[in-house]
Amino acid sequence: MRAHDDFELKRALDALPREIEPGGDDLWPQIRAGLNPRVSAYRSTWAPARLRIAALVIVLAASASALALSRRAAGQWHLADSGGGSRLFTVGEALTTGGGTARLTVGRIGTVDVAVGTDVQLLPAKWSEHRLALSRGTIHARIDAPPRLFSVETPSGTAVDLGCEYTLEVDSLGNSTLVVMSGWVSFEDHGRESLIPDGMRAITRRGGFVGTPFRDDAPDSLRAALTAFDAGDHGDPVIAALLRSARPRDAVTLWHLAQRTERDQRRRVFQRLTQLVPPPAGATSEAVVDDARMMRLYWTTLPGTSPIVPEWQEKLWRLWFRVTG
Amino acid sequence: MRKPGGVKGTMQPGAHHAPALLAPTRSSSAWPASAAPASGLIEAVRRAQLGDADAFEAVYRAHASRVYALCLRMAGDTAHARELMQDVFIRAWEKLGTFRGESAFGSWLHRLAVNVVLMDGRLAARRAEDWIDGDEGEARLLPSREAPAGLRMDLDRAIAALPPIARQVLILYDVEGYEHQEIGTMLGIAEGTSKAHLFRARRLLREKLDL
Repeated sequence: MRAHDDFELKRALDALPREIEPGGDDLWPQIRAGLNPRVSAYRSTWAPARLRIAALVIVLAASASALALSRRAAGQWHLADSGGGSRLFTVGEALTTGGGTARLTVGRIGTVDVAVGTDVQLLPAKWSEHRLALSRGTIHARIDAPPRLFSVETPSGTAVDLGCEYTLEVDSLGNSTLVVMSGWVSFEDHGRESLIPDGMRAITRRGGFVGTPFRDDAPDSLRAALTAFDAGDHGDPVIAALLRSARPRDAVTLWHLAQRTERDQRRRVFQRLTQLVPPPAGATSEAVVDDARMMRLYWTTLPGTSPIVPEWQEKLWRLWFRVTG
Repeated sequence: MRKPGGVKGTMQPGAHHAPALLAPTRSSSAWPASAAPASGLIEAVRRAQLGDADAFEAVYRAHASRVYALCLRMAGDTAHARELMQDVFIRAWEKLGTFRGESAFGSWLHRLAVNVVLMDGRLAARRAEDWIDGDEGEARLLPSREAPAGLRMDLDRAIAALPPIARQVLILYDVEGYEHQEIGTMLGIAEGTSKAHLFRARRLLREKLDL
């Protein structure tokens, strides 16, 4: 009986119109407005790649020799306190704000506002890089530079700028709370890393694991389970609570969690993640978690994330930034 | 259960690696891979590849109704379908350089359209909600929405009222001609789960259509 019904249904489905005219206003003007003018990819495919690379190398070399000398001053830090004073802030120098605040200008890449009751110190860094130590208190950083040129070391890990604005707080025990307002930040410690996009935060205990990022509006149940997980409780009830509480907006949290669990738990986390956000083509099982390329691809599809720039592009970008002063 | 009259195709090499970029492997009359576009359209595609937006308009006019049918059935409402269609054509413009003419342009555009629709955040979220509800008990019908203006047939109205994931599996399998394995990979579900959703979708459709 059902075979007959299915046959009827199949006939009906086959008879569906394959074309439907979109009603309402013509959509073309809106589509036309969204088309970026582009150099034809078709033509560029046939352009001699070696010629383009050679031209790029020549431009880089010329820029390096012409501009390198002018960049030294651009890397200096300046300190302005709330009393109106202003001076250079030099490597090795420490700053403790008492009842006032201060603003540090980080070369030409941004600013760091130092809140009341904060201890910071400017650390030695490689050419064109900037390192600050925050041992207590709160800073608010706004950085506009290639990734990984600005970092802040805390007792619980290092915040590495990936192009962003964020607030970093260190309490009296050395625990840190990182809240990202725009762009994204990497928080790293002992080879473990959290990628924290805007609208998310991560809490890291001193001596513990790097905190798993979560949305500012994450449900209380998810926050509670994540606190337990980051404190080392990886039991099934904690994992179950995390998976149950996670919404599509929390996919970034599960993306990290998949890399911090093993075997059965990893499979369950990955499965839940794929329910919330479809994985990239070819990502059919939790085995993909060990494939860095696929996980980068997956990352770009998660709500609220920016593409992870390949390392070689980051290096090229930093080199360009350095030589252009 | 065999599909009456259905023709099973052969999985293309590498299909399990990149199924979302593959043409349907089963027969489908919606986007015939062998259908050669008119020579004028081939020229329009070529000129669009060189950056000619006016030529791209001709491409859009030729394919808009097919893309819209896919978007409308997958999204289930006209406003969202119109947004998806814009995304598809803007994405197509950005990706035109990757079209090498190895398949019909319509097939290439279809693969792109399916990809864009499946990657849409709102549809993914609806699928996730549907999944969670489905885990806890019998599948439910989402509240019926008003039939989209472009859908005139009872069947299309019934399809639009299906739960999101069931609707998308039904369209991908029964209308677009994809295999369960491909659908499973595209939607991030097991092959068996895809079959279960299809079974559920057909049952709900039969109930609504009194078949």
